[in-house]
Amino acid sequence: MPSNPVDIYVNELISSHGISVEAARSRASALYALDLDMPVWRQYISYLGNLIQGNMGQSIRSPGVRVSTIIRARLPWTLFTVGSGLIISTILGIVLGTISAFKRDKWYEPIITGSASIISAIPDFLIGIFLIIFFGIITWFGMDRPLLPIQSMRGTHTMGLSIDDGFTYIRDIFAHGMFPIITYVLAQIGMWVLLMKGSTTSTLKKEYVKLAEARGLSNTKIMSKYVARNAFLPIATEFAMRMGFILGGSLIIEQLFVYEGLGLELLNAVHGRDYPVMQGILLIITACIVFSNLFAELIYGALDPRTRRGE
Amino acid sequence: MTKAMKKELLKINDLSIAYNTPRGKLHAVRNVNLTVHENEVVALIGESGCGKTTLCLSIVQLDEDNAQLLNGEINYYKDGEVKILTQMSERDIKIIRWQEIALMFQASQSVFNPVIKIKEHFIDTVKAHDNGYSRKAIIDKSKNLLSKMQLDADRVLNSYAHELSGGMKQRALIALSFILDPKIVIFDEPTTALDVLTQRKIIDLLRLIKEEYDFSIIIITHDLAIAAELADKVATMYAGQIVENGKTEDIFYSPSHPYSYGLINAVPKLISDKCEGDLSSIPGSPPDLIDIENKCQFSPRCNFATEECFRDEPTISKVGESHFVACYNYKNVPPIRRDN
Amino acid sequence: MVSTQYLFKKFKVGLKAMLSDKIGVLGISILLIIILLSAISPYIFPLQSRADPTQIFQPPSGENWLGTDHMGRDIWPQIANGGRGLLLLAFITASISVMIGIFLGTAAPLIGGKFDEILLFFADVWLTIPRFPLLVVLSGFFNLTSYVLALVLAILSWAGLFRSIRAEVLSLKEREYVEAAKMLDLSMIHVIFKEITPNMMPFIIMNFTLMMRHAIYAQVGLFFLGLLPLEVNWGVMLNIAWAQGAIYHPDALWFILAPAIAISLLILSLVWINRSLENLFNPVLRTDHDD
Repeated sequence: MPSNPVDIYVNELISSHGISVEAARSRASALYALDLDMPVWRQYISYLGNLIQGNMGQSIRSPGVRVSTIIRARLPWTLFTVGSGLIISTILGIVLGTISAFKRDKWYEPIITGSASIISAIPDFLIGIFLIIFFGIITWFGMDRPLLPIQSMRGTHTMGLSIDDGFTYIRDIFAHGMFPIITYVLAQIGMWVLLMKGSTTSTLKKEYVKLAEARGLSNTKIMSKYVARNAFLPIATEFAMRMGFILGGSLIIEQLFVYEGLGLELLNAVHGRDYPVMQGILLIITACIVFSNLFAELIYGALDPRTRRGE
Repeated sequence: MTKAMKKELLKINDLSIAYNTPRGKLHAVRNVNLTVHENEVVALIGESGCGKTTLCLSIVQLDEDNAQLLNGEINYYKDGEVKILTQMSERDIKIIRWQEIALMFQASQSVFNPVIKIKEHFIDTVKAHDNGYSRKAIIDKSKNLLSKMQLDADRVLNSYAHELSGGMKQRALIALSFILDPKIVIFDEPTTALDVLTQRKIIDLLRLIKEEYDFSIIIITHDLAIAAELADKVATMYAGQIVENGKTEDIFYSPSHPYSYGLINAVPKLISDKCEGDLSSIPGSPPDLIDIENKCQFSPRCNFATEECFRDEPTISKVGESHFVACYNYKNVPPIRRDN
Repeated sequence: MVSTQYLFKKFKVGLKAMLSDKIGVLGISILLIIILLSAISPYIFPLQSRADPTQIFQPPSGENWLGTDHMGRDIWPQIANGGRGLLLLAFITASISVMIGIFLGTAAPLIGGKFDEILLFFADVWLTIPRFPLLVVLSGFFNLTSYVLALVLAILSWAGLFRSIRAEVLSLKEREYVEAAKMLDLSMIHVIFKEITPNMMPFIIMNFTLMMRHAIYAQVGLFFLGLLPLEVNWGVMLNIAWAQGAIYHPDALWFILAPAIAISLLILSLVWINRSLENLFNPVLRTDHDD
């Protein structure tokens, strides 16, 4: 039964370290805090019980290190980059989308919408690769080296620096996080532009906007209370939903930029068959999605009275 | 109901409006003259696409972006002063809107902003006109108006649009249109999309409120029953022009334009036991308003058309006292038979 | 009743409208070119299997249009042949998941009751599964082959379509012709495939292209991470080019750029086709774009 990670681990220990079945089992048992003599389903219940108490077991690759410790060390970096990417792309997308909704007769409108629709279709990791080539590899005409020193920008921060270094540290983590952040921004901005444009355009056509004009309301009032509040609804929901994928979307990008966040950790765990770490990270990713869905519903309930029930 | 000596309130002079479309200029309103007096109800009747809505939107300068004023002007008389609405700045027209002239749309699903309560609509409207009303005063006045419209005022004010039925929304909208005591209220199809009973109720309420307040109404409708019941004056529009204009009785009993005749005859008369001629509708369809030929626009559909109708557009003739028609053969149009 | 003749006529009208949409035409052309290349390349541009150490990382030339790879092999035949597997797999994935979606999505509201409720709950839970990370983890547990991957991908992505089709069926269910068919005591299968499915064809086709897009993303991602068995396709090329450091070789840039562009074009073509279908089937949206 290859799907049981403990068995796989025991087998691996036996074959790779040449230790006895007994020794291997006791080591595995200590590692997972499980009694291997129990039936498998009891073991799983026991694992779940541990989980609820916040105990996700220990890493196999680095014995003795708790999975929760690893996650705690990696999670902030992923939250930092993907979160910044999400926020920046949303803001830029709202701005560009609004512009293209209002300036539909301007020459630059088709350019904004067209590039948005192209860029939103390209997979994020290809955007990452294009970025690396454009900024870090190609020596553009008239220059003696590429635009950015891509090699030294790998990782999450320069070794030796810590939060105590203050501004230098802040600048350093932004320099290292820059490429992943820009990639996340570019990968999502097109979607935001198109969503905001569509949403604003359709809101502007609504009768309540025209009636607000007929009622002599000021343009500021109409834009803020009648257009923006309604055009914003789909943006808010999408934002909340995207927050859920904040952790899961980072795998390939972190691999690409050797950025030691949660996604890269998951990949390393997969390559190293570190089952407890794999499970732990997957659990965190799923929990993030579930909570975001709940959050999305809360937001929608707060912003759109039509979804509220029984008042 | 004597209308004599009433003061003029709104005067549309030789107004022409065209839409710029990819195919060319679409002449939606052509050389329209219309006067609305104080306390008068004017009904605009005609098929959809004949320019009724464009005309009304232009009164408060709310035409679409691609609409263009070709000639003419709209004058509004206030305290002995003339205000030329067609030449007003955006800021000045905003003050006229709703306070002097309230333009109401069809009460479809989305006349109210779905994310704010009905009461916010009342408050926003009053605050936009800076009358120094307090929030409390606005609410009180709104409640009063809503009760007049036979609505549970407290409930409606604290509801969102989706919590009200179509008829309730329409009545709330009518109440909203009176919040600033406008001199003219324009109703664009006030009863379409409502069931027959609700239509009846709305009409009755409009009459009721008309008796209580002093204001004029311009009502756009293709429901001739409403026009007959409410209006003092009827203007028939066809292909962007007002082809006949006169007192309600005159238009309904002795129409002079073949198109008015057709429209009125097209209304099924429940009481009459035999069907008259073209009961269902007028055959044919309105002309293309982009390439306008120099002829009577109605001539291809007209039973009374003669040679000259196809040669030149007819000018306005005076039929009777304040009864005008644009037709060469108006003398041949028979009166409507009321057999009952 | 929907006859095949009627459907055919509708299809013809649709095709005509689609051909008048430039973006749609571009999308269809790109996809057709990729399909054509996939079909003829084994005969016209056969893969070069022998390594040639003297030709490593050569720049593009008349002989090697896109240069050579780390083993001195011509890149162009790899590009020409590299879309076939991805397309086929995406097609299989989309077919399976659309079939599951149609079947459950129509069966649930027609059967109704507990069955419907349970399925809907299941779908809601399913939608919270982080698909790509789970695929990555699964590839750590099992050796995923292409066809197993197609099946897993399909099973992972049925829920969205299920929900939309279910909603659509619920509204269609009220319409007369389904009522009539039920009154004639026609079987459920008949109702599903003869009455309801043809009416949702536009919707299903749009979902199909969307599903293909997701499948291509997932596959290429997994290939790029080296989590799937190696074969000749654009994802694997990316992986090898990346691992071999082609990116740092100015002359070998096309080794990595070519598959990246090819994948982008394939996905773009699907997106554009999808968009033009959307414009076609949704007149409300169409007016939004036109004016």
